[in-house]
Amino acid sequence: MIPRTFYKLLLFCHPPSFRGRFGDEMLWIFEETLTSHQRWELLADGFASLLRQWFLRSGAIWKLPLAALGGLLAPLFGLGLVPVLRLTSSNLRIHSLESLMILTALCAMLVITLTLILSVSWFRFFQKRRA
Amino acid sequence: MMKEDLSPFLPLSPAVLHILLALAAEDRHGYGIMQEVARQSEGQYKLGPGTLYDNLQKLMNQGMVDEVPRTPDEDPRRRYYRLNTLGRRVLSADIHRLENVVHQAKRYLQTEGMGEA
Repeated sequence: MIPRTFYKLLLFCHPPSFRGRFGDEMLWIFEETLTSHQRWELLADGFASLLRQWFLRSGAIWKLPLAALGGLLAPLFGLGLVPVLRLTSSNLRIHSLESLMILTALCAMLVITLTLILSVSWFRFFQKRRA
Repeated sequence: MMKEDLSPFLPLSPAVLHILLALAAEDRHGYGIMQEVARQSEGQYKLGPGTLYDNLQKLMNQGMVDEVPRTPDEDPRRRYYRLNTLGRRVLSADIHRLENVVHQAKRYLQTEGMGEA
């Protein structure tokens, strides 16, 4: 049961065009495979396929450095924020830096949640209009 | 009649060669192709679904393989694939190329054997 769930997850992670066209067939083949040894081989094949489809076939290789850069921005921004928070906490007379950091984190979470809700609503609205 | 230039498709990779060979006899679905490849190679060449469908997609984009229209009573997950005229020509061209390779190899190995004797 676990390999099947894992295989489904691997298929789900494939690029949508490939998954939409061949995903069901690949899962059907997996279900037809009886021995556990063969199933592990299919899992390895599915993982290789995942890498192949994203890195070689999707034409989106440029997104990788961009994603890495985006990933780096978060800790860099966090580190840069510490002196600003220190200064703000002394100005606002908040007793500990930790309390201000928690407050900032909560505000950031709120902003992220609102952004997500707005993005999804906008995307759905756009899809409906296209349909 | 002008001879079609098939050189951009050649040489075929082992996976593509096996897939085209499996489809040369009859239309097959993905799992059928995998089983036929294992049978042809006597279990020496194993083709996983990831490799199979990656190559099938490429072959369909190149116009060598077509998807067979489904009948309503069939399992929707089971799609059949067919080798078309271009695919058959490319396969024949690659088999001809391989025959030349085997011929050359036999000639060289024979000469080598005679030299040793």
